[in-house]
Amino acid sequence: MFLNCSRMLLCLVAVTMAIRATRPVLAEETSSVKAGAAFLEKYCYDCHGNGGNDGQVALGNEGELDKVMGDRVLWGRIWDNVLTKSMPPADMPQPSDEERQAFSKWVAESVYHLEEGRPATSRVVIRRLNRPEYHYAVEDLLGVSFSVDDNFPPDDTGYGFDTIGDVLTIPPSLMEKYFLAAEEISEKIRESAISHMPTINGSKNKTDKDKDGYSEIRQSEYYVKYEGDYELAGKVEAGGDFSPYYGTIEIALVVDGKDIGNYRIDTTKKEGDISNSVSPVEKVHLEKGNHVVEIRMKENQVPEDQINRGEHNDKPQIKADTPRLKGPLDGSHNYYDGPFYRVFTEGAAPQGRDEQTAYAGRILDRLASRAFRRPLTKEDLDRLLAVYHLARDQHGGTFEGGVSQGIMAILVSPRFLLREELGTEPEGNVEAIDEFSLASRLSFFLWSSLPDDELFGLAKKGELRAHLKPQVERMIKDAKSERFVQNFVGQWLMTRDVLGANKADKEFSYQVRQGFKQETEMFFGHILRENRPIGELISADYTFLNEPLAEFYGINGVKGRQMQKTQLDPQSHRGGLLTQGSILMVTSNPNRTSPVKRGKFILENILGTPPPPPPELVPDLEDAKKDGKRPKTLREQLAIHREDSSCASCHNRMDPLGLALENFDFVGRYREKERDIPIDPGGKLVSGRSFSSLEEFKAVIAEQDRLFIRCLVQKLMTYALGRGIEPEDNPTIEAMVDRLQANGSHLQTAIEMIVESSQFQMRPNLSETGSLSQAETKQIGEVR
Amino acid sequence: MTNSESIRARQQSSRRNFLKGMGALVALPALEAFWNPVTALGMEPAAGMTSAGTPLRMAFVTFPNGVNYKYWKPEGIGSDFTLNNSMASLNPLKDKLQVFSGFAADGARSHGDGAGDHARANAAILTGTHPRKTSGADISCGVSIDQVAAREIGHQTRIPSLQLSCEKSRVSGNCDSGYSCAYQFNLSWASPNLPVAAESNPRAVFERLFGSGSPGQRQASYEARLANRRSILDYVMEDARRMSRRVSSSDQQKIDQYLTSIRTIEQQIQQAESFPLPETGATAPGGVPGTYREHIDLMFDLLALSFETDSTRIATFALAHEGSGRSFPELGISEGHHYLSHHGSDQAKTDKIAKIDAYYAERLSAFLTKLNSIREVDGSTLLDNSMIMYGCGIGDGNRHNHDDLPIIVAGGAGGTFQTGRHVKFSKDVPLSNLYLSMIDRYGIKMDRFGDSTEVLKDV
Repeated sequence: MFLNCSRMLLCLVAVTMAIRATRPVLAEETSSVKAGAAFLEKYCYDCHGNGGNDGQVALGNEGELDKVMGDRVLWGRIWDNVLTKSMPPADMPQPSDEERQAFSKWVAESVYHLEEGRPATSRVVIRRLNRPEYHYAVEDLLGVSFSVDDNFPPDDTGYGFDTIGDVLTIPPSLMEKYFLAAEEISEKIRESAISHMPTINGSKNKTDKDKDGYSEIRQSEYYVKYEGDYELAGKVEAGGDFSPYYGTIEIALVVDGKDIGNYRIDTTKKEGDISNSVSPVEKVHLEKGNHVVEIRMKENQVPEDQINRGEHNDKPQIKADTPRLKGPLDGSHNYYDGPFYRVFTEGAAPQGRDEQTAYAGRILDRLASRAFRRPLTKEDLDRLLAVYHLARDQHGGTFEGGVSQGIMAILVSPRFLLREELGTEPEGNVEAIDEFSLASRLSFFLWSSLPDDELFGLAKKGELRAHLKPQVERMIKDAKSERFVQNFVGQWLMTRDVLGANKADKEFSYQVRQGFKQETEMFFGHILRENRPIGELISADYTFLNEPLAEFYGINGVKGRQMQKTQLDPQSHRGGLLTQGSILMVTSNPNRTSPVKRGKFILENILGTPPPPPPELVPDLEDAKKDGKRPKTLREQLAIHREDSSCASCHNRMDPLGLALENFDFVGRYREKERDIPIDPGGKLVSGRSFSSLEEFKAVIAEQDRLFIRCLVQKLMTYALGRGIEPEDNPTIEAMVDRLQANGSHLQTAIEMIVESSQFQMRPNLSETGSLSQAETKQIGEVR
Repeated sequence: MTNSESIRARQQSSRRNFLKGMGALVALPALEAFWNPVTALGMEPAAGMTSAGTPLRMAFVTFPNGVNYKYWKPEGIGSDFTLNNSMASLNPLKDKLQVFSGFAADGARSHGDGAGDHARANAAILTGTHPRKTSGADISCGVSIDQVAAREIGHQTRIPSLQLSCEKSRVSGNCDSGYSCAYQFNLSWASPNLPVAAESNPRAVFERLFGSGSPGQRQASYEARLANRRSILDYVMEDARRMSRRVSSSDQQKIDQYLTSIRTIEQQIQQAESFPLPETGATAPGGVPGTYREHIDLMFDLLALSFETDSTRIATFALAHEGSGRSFPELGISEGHHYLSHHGSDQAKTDKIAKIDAYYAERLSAFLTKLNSIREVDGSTLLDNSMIMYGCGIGDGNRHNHDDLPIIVAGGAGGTFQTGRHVKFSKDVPLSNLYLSMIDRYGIKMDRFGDSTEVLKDV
């Protein structure tokens, strides 16, 4: 279900603006501190208070909580641990769900001063287009496919994604690459304005030997759409290791039974001077309709005794190409390359200089406003036209050269490369981003590219905010949402690494790797587009397979290379992300599984409860010895490792999760034994929940629906916002998870909620800077 | 021949073709014409030159995950020393290099920041700085030593400095223990928040050095390209200035980065006349070769070529990023390097680490041999006029220690380095001290760099 959030949000904004956020007075703070202190004293102080600082969380002495109230980072950790039930530890008294909720509400209000219903948001650093975004923006704008992977260095990532503004830097070496890219792309545009004469391909090709006195006749049919003069070009070659002085080959080019040219290949000349091919080019007038073109060949062999056989014994092999037909020659039906139509929308250049300038202005205005994601001012356009003129007016300059120079300027402009966002009238601590910025956030989120006509049009009319839900639905239906699936899943579930990961296994083919990647992406894409429950990502009893992948999984009945939705038997042991080859292999070492990596992956990316980093001096994990003996299995090694108390607190959380998946080897194959020792997937989570099989384990994870939904929402928000999740975002996220769970937890709905959130639609009030000057606003508002 | 074999064969032959082209056909621009030994005249050498009047080159080559000390540490101190097994391939060049024991990278230590030694080691090794621990927001490291040098003497060559790596792509997801991947993948930092990404595609490096297109047309197309760029600089700079007036202070940094980068392009255009493209008959290499070894060698070839043509004098080269989990099928090692480095004194693993150490050292040896075979105008070799630091910001991968680092400094720095020695310090010496003395050879006098305590004298 989708609440009418766009309106609700606007109301919220209005309310906030009226309230004008003010900090509560000190006396109130003191009394509210006490409310939270009660919870902490009851559940936390044993380990974290009065000098205790387990896990480096120290709350200080009882009654002195106000001393740590300002530590945002500390409270973020406390908040997370309480909400995800990671704390208190299972063997300690547990607060009720109501107590946890009340406490988190207290943290929101007293520590972060977030009042209920007040929109929260925090700073998003201006983002540079990352590699996929650059690629798709250029493709959507100009119809040119530019290979970013070969030309740009990999983007730095933060918080697990490559959309993070803070780390998307622009060093000079990258700027150099942007120039090279812009040069290559604008060159393609310039070349696309060179028209091509249509070529008509021959059909019904046939060859007759020894017919009508000819040794060979090649015949083809051509359909001519427009009457006119055409160019007919053929080529006949005498090839092979034949001897000289063989004789001559008479060749005739015949159109509709009429000779239009005669040629000859003469092999009787001196060696080294043999003309062994002819390439006739003839002009021919053709009417509309079908025409038959023939190449008739006659071999005139000299008498056998005159042939100087030498070491060559073969007859020449006559090879005739199918003639090419090109025209009409007057150019009346010439055509252009694909990118041409995206740029020169009104066709080829007009004659007069002034007409050309006006046309260039229309082209550059449209392209630049789309590339910059907002309308151009008159002055912007004039500056761009100045670039056009520099190229157009120089010696030898052309209209197309001028336009492509303008395009080059657009492609290296900071307005294209950097995703600048503008605010509306600031009120209070926040301001809504303007409609163009919103269109941009939306299209980069779901399409990794520029807004299309419809989004841009709505933003121009100021109606996008009011039509968000149908737009999100439309965007997800559009094939371009596949880019979101690939980029988001590629990083969240690391399917980007599947093709390149080092694996020491010859049976593990490239085909299977590709299948792994596609399986996970199609699976996620299916749940997204069909708006299925998020939990199905863990518990689905279907997946997407093709024959090679099914074979690798040991599943029968899937035919062909096409990936197809496949219902899974319980005996297949597959179903859900945790059993998909992609994840199982990228969380393994090159030649064996790593239960620790798998466990860590589940904590970080499925349950959203990442373990803290390991202590500085890591005792040897996988070489643990007991009584001087090496343990036989990884499970035993890990058990010994956990005896060290500094390792136990985290490994108790990670290891059982990873060991539960030991039935899958390092490339995701199912197995029951390792080195002849039966695998025991059973274990116990820190929560005390135990399981004895892979299936039971999956059920246990599926029970953690709330954690999983919360984790996915956090990852989606990080990806969409281009920043890490801040403690201030937690109330919004909790409210979203509540609403999702109350309404069937659908994936598309989660995306709609993120789009509706204040985090997505607003930004902190940047007071003096960050919005247009009045003059600029006026100019931008001016629609030409 | 299977498909992958044929690709490999093709790539190998492309490297051979490429190699055949270089060397013989490289023309040294301007050098011979301007060669003017200054020592005889009793003058100070010009910044960036040796006293003999040849260019002075500096490169920093790093490998990941520490070493197996047992086979790394040379025997003997001073000039009477024997190279150990891992460095055996360097024996022919023994008198042209110095092996150091006892350098430390304090910035790589945790200082209360917990785990993340690989990210820190990578970030600290050339910056001497302790990077701020963050997954993304507010990254902060230090300016790296190559960039310090590039700022001072970079204008003397067409390319101020070159950054190379053999990492084609990044792993997705999070990097080392809460550190942004920016730390783990970048050696060079132009400013505390601006890492300089390295180039891994040999073809792109080649085109940067010699231009694109067929050999005869490269200069013309280079000039046309620069003229083209000039015509749009005003436009984009004005865009940036306008944007700069609109954005908040945190975004201001990004615009500044943009403007700085644009100015670099502008400088290139201005310098184009003084630095014509060097000519080479070599054809551009294809893309990234099929094997790691080929890739390393090709990048080293290009580095040698860039020095030989005096296209640049400063470079960094990450053979792999710190913490790399690469396996070495060529050595019959199927485990990942990082995994092996946590060897727990298991001999099977430490032996493999030693094999990897030797493998990397062999590639270095091939590179140094090449530099040593290139004659300069005064009869010395290019290696004699170079300072090539080779090393790692971690000592023993199992301990993650950042002292007693494996460091080799090859080359004579124009006769100012005392080569042919094993130098062993009695207590930790900051690696930054070495850097101070390296840039000192360029005439750059700096009191402090990173965690330095003084200019290293014993080098």
